[in-house]
Amino acid sequence: MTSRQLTLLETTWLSARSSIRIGIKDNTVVLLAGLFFAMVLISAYLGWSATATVNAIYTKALPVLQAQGKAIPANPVGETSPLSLFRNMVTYVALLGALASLVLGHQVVAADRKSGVIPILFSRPINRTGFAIGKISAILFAIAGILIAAGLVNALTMLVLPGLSLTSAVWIGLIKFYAVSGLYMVAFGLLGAICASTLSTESMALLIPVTIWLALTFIVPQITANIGPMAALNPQSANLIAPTGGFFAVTSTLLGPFSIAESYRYLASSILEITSGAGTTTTALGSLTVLAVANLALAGAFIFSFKTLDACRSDYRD
Amino acid sequence: MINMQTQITTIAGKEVRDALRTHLLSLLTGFLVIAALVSLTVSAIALHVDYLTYVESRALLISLGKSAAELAPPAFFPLKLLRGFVEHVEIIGGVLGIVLGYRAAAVERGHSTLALIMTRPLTQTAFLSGKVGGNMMLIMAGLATTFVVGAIALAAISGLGLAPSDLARIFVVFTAASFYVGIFFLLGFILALTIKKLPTALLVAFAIWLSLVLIAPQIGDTMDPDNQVAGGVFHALDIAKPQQTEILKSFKTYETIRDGIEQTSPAKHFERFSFAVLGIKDIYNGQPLAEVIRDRVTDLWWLLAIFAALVFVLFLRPLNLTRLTKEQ
Repeated sequence: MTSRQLTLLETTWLSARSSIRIGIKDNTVVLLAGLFFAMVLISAYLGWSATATVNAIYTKALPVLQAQGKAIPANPVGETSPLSLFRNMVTYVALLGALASLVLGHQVVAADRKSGVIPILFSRPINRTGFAIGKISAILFAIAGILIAAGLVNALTMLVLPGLSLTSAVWIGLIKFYAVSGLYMVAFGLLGAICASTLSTESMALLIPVTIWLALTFIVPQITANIGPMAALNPQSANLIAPTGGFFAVTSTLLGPFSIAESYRYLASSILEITSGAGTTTTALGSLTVLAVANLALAGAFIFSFKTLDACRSDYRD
Repeated sequence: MINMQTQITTIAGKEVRDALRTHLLSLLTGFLVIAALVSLTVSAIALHVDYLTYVESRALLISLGKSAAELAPPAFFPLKLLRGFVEHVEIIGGVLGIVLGYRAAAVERGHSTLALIMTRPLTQTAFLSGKVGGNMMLIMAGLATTFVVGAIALAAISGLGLAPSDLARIFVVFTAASFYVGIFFLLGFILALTIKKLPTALLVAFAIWLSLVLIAPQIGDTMDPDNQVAGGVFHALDIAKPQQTEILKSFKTYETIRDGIEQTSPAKHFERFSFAVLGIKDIYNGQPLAEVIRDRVTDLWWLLAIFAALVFVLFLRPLNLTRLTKEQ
C-alpha cells in the first residue's frame, strides 16, 4: 500500500489543527492569554472609573469657576466617545497582547522542535510551505479567538453602563479597533515563530524577540518622536506632537516605516477617538500600510525560515 | 576540606566566567547602554529644539516691537536629561536581572550538574551565596558600565562637565539601581529553581516583570484624573493649582487606591527615588542630596525590603534536586 501525498490545503489544515492544540495545551500561552483577558476586564473598569472621576471633578469645579466669574466650559466627559472608555486597551494590547502573541508564535514552532517530530515530518513527502501556512493560520486563529472574547467583554460593558450613546459608528469603531489590534499582535506572533524556527537555543529564541519588542515599544518612539519610555505607555501619548527640526524629521522618515508600535498606537488611538490626530504627520492609511507590510514581510520570512529549517539539527541546544 | 569563604568565591568566579562566555550579559548591557545613549541624545536634541524655538519667538517679539521679558528661556539642568535613562534602567534593567537569574539556574539544570555539586561537601547556603554574589557583581559591572557611559555622554552633551555633587547623585542612583535589578535577578533565579519547565520559569518571570514594571505604574498613571483628558482635566477647566488641591481633597480614597497600586511596583519606588535624587522632579531640584534622600528614604526602604524578602525566600527554601534536572 502506498501513502498518498497530502495536498497543500490538507497539509495546512493538519498543521493548523495540531498547532492550535499545542497553544491550548501550553500553560504559558494560557497564562498570558488569561492575564491579557484579566486586563481587558480591568481596562473596562478603569475606563468607567476614570470617566466617573472626571465627571465628579467637573461637578466640584463648577462652583469654583462660578465664584471666580469665569465662563463655564463644557464637561470634558461629554466630549469623549464611548469608545475612549477602553483607552487602556491600547497599552494592554501593546504590552500583554504582543508578549502573549510572541509566546504563542514561539510555542507553535518550539513544541515541534522539542518533541522531535520535525525529522519525522520532513522525511515524509510533506509540503513545507503548507505546513508553515498552517502554523500561521493557527496563530491567526488563536489571536482572533482571544480578541473576539475581549471585544465581547467590551461590548457588554458598553451595554451595561448607563448614559452611553451607542450608535452604529461606535460598534464599527470597536470592530475596527480589534481588527487593527489583531494585525499588531499577529506581527509579534510571527516574529516569535521566526525566532523559534531560526535560532539554535530556546532561551535566545525567547530573548531575541523580547529584545526586539522592547526596542520597538520603548526606544524607536523616542528616536522618532521624543516619546519617553514610560510616556509611551500612556495612550494619551498619541496626542504628543514630535518636536520640529531636522533630527526628528530625518528619524521619523527613516525609522517610521519600521515603527509598528507607533503606527499601532496612532491607529488605535484614532479609532478610539483618544486623539484627533491634529499636528501629527502620520496618517491612518500610512499606519495601516506599515502594519500590513510588516505582517506580509514577517509571514514571508517565517515561511522561508521554516522551509530552510535543518531537520537533522531541529532540537534546541539548551 | 575547603572553607566556606573559598567555596563561595569559587562559585562566584565561575558565575562571572559562565556569564561572560554566553554573551547574555554583554548583549543586554550593550542594549541598555545604547538605549541610555539614545535617550540622552534625544533629550538633548529636544532641549536644543526648545531653545531654538525660544530664540526665534524672542526675535519675533522684538521685531514686532514687543517686550520679550515674559518669555522664559527653557531651563537647563543637565541631570534632568537623565529622565529617559532612568526609565530605560527600570525597564531593560529588570530584563537584565531576570535573564541573569534564569541563566544562573538554567546552566546547572541544563547540564544536570546541580545534583552533582550538592553531593560535594558544600552547603546549600554556600552554593546560593556564591551564585548570588557572582551575579550581583555582574549586575553592578553592567550597570556601572551604563552609568559611566551615561555620565560621560551627559558631560559631553551638556558641555559643562559634571560637578562632584552631580557625580554623587549619579552614584546614589547607581546603588539604588543595583538593588532594583537585584530584585529581578532573585525573582528569575527563584522561579528557575522552582518551576519544573525552564522556559515556563522565564515566561512567568517576564509576566511578573510586565505586571510590576509596566502595568501597575501604567494603571496608577492613567487613573490620575489629570491624565484623563488631553492636556490635563484641570487645564481644560482652567482651574488654578490651589483650587486643584482643594478639589482633589474630595478624592482622597481614590487617590489612596491609585497610590497603593503604584506602591506595589518596585519600579515606581526606584523611579520616585531616582527622579528626586537627580532633581528631575521639580520640587527636589536644587535641594541638598542628604535632604532629598531623607525625604525619599521610604522608597529606598521598599527596594531593600523586597530584595531582603526574596533573599530570605531563596535561602530558606530547600532545593528539590530530583525536580531540578533538565526540563521535563
